[in-house]
Amino acid sequence: MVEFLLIAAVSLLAVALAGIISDRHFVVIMLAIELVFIASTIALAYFFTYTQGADSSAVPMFIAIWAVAAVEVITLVTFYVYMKSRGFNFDVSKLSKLKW
Amino acid sequence: MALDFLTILLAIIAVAPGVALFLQKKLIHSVVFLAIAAAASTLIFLYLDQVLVALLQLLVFVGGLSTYLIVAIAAEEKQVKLASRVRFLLATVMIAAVLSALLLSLPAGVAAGNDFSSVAQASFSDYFALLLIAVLLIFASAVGSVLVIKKFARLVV
Repeated sequence: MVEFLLIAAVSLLAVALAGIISDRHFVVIMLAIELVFIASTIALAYFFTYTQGADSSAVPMFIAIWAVAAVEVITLVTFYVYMKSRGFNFDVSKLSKLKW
Repeated sequence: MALDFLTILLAIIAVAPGVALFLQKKLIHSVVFLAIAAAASTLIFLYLDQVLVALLQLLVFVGGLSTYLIVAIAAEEKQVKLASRVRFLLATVMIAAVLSALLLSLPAGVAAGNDFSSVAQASFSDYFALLLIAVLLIFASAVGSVLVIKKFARLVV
């Protein structure tokens, strides 16, 4: 019944995607993307454990995911500080310009 | 049967914080639930005998990224305080007890491909370019972040 773990990863991905679709707050959407990374690490660990040979290593793939997640968090905090200091609205539906 | 129950429990523990993240009214609570979701994923890694991955996930997601996010978001919160210290202490003890019981029931062992030496072998030979790109990516974004925040941080501090 370890398939429940894969179902958990897929459910987490579904929750994150639903959050991205339904929520309009900039920070919450970025947090949902972080959830996607967490779900992908769970799925990767599951598939590595039950499909790969014993002599291979999944950690380089994990490092790639962690690196992108770290960059995403750094970018999130930077944009958060920038938007807060400029008094911008965090509603993404009102962010129609790429340059202010 | 006990194994099935543990698997289902782990799946619920992994998904529930993700759902709770979107149900919060305060931003700081959402960030805390993201940290809980990351911590819950490490329990799954431990269950799958991926001890090194669980340790790194805990260090990177919970110790690094979530802490950074919580500090950054909390700096904007005007009223950040504990509602009740007694409740906080009780919750801490209960969570620690439940997590300890779960961890102690896990089977011992390390997956063959993910021990430290094989990871070092793979990372510094076959995947050295990937490691280098990851390091440069994080360094570049961190430098850019410092430059931007230095310019616009007057309202934060």
